[in-house]
Amino acid sequence: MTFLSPWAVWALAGLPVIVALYFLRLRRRAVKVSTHMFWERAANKTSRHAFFQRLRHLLSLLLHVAIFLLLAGALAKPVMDRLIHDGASVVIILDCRARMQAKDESGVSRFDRAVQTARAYVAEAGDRRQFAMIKVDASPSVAVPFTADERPLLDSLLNARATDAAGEMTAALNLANTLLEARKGDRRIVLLSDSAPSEESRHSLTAHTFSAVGNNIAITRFATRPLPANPQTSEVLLEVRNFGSAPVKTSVEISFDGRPIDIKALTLEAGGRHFSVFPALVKPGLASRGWLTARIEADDSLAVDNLAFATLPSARSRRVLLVSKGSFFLERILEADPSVKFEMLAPEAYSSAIGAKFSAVIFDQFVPEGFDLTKSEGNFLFIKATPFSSAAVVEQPLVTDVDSAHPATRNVSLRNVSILRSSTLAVPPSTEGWRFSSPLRSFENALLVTGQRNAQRVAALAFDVAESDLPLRVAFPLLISNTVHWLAGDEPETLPAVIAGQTTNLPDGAKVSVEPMTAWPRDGSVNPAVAGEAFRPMRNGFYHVSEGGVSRWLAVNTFSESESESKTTAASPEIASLPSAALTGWPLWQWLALAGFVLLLGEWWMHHRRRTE
Amino acid sequence: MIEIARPWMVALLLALSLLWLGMRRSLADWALAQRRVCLAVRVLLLAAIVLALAGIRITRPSSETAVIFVVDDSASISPEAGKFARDFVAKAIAAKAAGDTVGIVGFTGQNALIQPPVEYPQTVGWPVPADRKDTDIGGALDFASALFPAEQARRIVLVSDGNDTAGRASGSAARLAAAGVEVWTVPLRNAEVPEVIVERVDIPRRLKQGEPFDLVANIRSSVETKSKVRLYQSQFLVAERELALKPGDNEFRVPGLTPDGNFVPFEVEVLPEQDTVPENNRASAVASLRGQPRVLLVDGDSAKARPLADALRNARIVVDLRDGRGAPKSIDDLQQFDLFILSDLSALGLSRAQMELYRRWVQDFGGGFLMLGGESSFGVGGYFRSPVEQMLPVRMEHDDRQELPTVALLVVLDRSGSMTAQVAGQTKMALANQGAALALNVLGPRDYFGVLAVDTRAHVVAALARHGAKEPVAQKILSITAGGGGIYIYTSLAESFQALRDISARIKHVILFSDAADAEEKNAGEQQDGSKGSGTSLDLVTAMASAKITTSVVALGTEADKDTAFLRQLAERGQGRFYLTSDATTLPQIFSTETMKVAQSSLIEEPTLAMPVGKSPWIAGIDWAQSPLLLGYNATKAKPTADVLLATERGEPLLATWRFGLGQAAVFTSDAKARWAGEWLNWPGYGKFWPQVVRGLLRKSDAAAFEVSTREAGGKLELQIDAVTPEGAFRNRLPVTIATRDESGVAGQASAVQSAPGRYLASVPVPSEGTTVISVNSPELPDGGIAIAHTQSYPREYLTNSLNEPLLRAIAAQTGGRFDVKPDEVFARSDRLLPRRRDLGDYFLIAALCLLPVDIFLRRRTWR
Repeated sequence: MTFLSPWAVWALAGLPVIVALYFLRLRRRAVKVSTHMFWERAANKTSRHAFFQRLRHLLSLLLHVAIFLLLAGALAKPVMDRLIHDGASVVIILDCRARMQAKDESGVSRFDRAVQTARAYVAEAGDRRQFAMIKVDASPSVAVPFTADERPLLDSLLNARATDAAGEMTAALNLANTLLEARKGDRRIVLLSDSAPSEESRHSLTAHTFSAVGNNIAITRFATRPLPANPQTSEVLLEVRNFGSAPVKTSVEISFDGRPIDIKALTLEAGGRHFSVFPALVKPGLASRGWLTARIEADDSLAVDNLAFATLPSARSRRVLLVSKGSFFLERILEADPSVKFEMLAPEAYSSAIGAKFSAVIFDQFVPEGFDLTKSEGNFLFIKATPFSSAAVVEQPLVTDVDSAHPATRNVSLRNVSILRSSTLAVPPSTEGWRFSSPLRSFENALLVTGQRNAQRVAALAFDVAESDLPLRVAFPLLISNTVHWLAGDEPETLPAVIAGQTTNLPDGAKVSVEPMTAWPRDGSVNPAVAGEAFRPMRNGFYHVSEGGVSRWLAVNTFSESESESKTTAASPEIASLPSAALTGWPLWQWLALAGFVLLLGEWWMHHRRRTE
Repeated sequence: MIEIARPWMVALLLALSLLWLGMRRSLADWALAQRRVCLAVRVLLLAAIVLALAGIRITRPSSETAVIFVVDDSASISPEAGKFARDFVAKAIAAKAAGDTVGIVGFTGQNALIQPPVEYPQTVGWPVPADRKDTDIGGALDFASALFPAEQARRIVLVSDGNDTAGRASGSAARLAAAGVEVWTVPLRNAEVPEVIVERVDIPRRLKQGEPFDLVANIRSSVETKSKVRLYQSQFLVAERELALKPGDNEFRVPGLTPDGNFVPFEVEVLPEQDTVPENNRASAVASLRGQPRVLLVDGDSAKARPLADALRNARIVVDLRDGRGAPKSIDDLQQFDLFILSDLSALGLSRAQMELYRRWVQDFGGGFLMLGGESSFGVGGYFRSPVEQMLPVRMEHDDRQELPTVALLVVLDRSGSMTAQVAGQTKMALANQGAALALNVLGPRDYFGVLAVDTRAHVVAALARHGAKEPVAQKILSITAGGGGIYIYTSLAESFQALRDISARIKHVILFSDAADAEEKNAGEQQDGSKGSGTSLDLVTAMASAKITTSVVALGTEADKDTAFLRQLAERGQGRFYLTSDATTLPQIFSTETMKVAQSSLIEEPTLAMPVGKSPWIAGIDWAQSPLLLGYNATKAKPTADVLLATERGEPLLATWRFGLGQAAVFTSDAKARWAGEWLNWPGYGKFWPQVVRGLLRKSDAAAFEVSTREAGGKLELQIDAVTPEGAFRNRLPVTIATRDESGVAGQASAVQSAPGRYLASVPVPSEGTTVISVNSPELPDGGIAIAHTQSYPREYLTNSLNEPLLRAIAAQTGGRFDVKPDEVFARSDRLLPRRRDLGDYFLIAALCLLPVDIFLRRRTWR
């Protein structure tokens, strides 16, 4: 037993005062008699009852001494702990990772039990026993610095929620150890999690682990990607795992914008995995949100991994101007691309003012008179006639090198393309902010030159597509689409999905909703948007991102096998002892004070019933 | 302001009513005044306890501020800037108000707690960190945020040049902003000193062995200074140049480098006359060369193909030269190569399965194939109508050549019962029939052709005649069935002699096909019982030869068979060729080869010049006007979509190519050795021409099928692997493994996890300095996988020493802080007033303790 306020021992100095009051101020009771006849009787009676009188007197004294001691004891803040003679610093690590949402047989989540235990600990906060609290989701953070006041700790616990993020405990233990380094006296870490840590701690560690129902089925992967050959069509990857020890039969419901479109029946062996890739059955239109959700019908321990989110790329239209006397293949390919709104203009009608209205301008065998790249504004694709062309012509050039890392030639297979002839392109030196490259080459000759200066981009194709068999290839629409979207500033597959808890850098000026939206809302939270580059969602769902007037959806998921594995690693019993407050509900001093309170009431009643004097 | 920590405890006040109840009908002898006073005191006493239990505390807004200085101590901070930082902190602390708290954290890649947060800091020493090669601003901000005491406005003062190498400052700032921590930033400006940095070395991402490329290094200088720039390849000096550096970016370009090996390290070193930090004067890059181009050259006589092999090797192409026995028999063998050159090797040395394999390899696996001419190549080599011919850009018929001599060919087929045996799902008879039909197709419309099927007597299947419509005749031939007794040789020859004798043709020839173990009637009239007529088969065939009717024999069997020697002798006497095969599936090739040779249709042994007829990098840069004569070639005809790049003087294809499936096939109808190209061997163009042709034909690495992008994060390299088919579909369920090895020999392995259709993710540790070779493998990809190299020339800390003001401004803006503050502004009172609580519980308990004696005294005093 240790006293958090040992100075309270001085209060014991008041005890002799109480005793003295009893012995020095013997109170005589006034007895009224109607005649002197009764006086002697009354006096005799008093002497006969002297023993009881003394007893009442003593009882009163003892009661008051007890009350005094109880109150003095409460003031001294005794705790059932012998390690805090020099004070104590306790860091509570509250596991807020997704796994803590798992529920036990009684339907109570691990997290709720952890919070309950944490409340018991912080009730013992005091000057000589300060608490700090670290919350762990994707990474640890100090929720409450060291404080002697239980209130901020309780407030923090009141607001605490288990997130949908996956994370590791090691960094939290390191942070807790770091926090304790500068502290004196007894230093300890209280870990409230589902598993005992595997790492050694530099300071005393008390681990409380909370179990859950053993079976869990989880969607561990759910993702979409547009096919390179046909970006308007997407493929979907779905992986479901059974983390339980018994085989299960279940089904996965696939929904688009909240409407079911497919149900897949699954049978999973114990520890088994279902992996499938299938084409998305729908193509999002301009009005659709592109939400694709997968939901498992399962009554298992962890619900958060039964629902997964992905987005199908929504049509994002770019205005493209084709300056040409007529190009059958280019016109068809631009018409067929729903992500492009293309207009055509005869070369003689072109002016830079018109070009400025478009995201990209394609010059088909035409270079505007007096065109100067360094002074021009806009994004241009030149075909055959380019500002970089020289008079030399290469007959039947072979495509020998394709830079598949370049956005314009990404996923473009140009092997064995037959080209009748091409002009010779001179790759300009990278000056005045421009950086040029040649992602498509025939030996030393560049077939495609690309350049970029900040947001401005230019590309030049050395040959007429009609003088090649390129239009007959899968690669043709891909090359043109890639190039046009690269010119328009579209980054390939930007931010289709992220993992809960990970920090994602949003483009400048982008706004993102604070809370996710799902087709099955978990609460009625409002959903304002905030601006910020670093976006770190903690809950799964669809987040609305707006950037420059363009809206899109960002899918956030947990997708962590370690989070979905709901089995518990038990803490070793000798270190998992609960604080006394957890056993008693209240800290000891409160019990003492309450006892004093009750005794005072009781003593009052006894006195007025003449049980005490 | 009053707060109650445990408001539910206030309910205990209701219990005070018990005092009144207890006092009702009291037996205590209390005067009224005593009653009132004692009740009041007891109420106060109990109320004090209740309030203590309820946790009554007063709160008052506090503007006291806790400031933690986070001071950059990394290598990019000059000593002068470091002193400025320490002075700044000292001045700021001197200006702080009472109640404010100060803490100090020093950081590089690690954090050091120099001063825990206290109100009155002691003078502290500034430890010098041992490792200053990193700057982790995000980590330092996170660390500092954990140190704040409660109930004070929280402010971090970041004193740094903003050159973050960990890349997580922005995420940390977002967390701090959410936690209500302001970050004020103090820029550390290094003094303007001369600094020259090799910022990066650029080389193409992927190269092929021997492929020349330009190396470009960007050298950034803060001053105008002279310098010497050196380029090392694999630690050997390969170039040195004086370079006058201008302030800003300077380009150092070394053109035409052709490294050897799979991973070739290049290092650029600059030796400037003026400089401050030497660590950043070197930068490296590794050229990842996609395996050396490997060519398989198979020639019937490999010694004669050596000049071609040497020419290719001189051009840094790896050549595996084999003779006919080394012709690949499996896809695994072929997959080692990018190009297969088949030079003058008869199809008779190849099985049909092998030829089918070569066709599939080109069509489905994207291999390159080149057939060179020769007396055992093309049609005369037996490739007519073979799987190999299917993939070649030329046909081997010659139906439009008017000047060739007229041929009369009679095919005599053994239709004895032994021909019913099955081989590869067909009878030997059927395979022989196909051979005879092929022979018909080889011949032109002016040629005579006939077929006899012979057992004990000769059956005319197709009369010796000119066949305008070949198909009905071919069908007749294909319908020949076996079933009779052994072939009667003499009868066959006699019938043949009779048929050919009166035909007017310049070449008259018999192809006799017989079972080597079952040739009967070697002499005229010889019967199964051994009785003989007059004359022998050998005499007859000699007589036929005298009459300019030649005879070749195709024998099915082995040397050990009883009639092999006889049949060989028959062919010799008949002035023809003898073919012995135990593999009936080769019969079609043998028949077509023999027919081609007889008809002299594809072997043109006359001098010709190589005439360029198309423009292509394959033949570019060669003075064809000066090219020597070629002494012969195989006559072919270009298929409709073939690209003919060189032609003979007759206009027939000499070099032609086309795309076949995923691969590329080409023919050079002359040879590359002494027989026809003897004069070419000493011609300078020979050593240029063949490497160019071979490079054009090499299997293209399907880069679009397997793209690896990397991102460095926290000492790890994150790999994103995209696997796409040439048709633009995703490759799913690939087992993808990653193997790494760094300069110190530390090896690692990882498996990639499929995260999306066609996308795989993996993470491997990489050192902060040096080169790590990373091999990404999947056995299910055509190329097996690719290897890349990741190079960190020097710690990023040395990349720049200039101020990264945008980052410092962004952090300040993100957290509601200020940029470029003065020392006396650091402790400016925050607008955010935080409640400061004081718990009154102890006071109430003390009050209760004090009231208790009073309560006793009041009870025991005399009130009357």
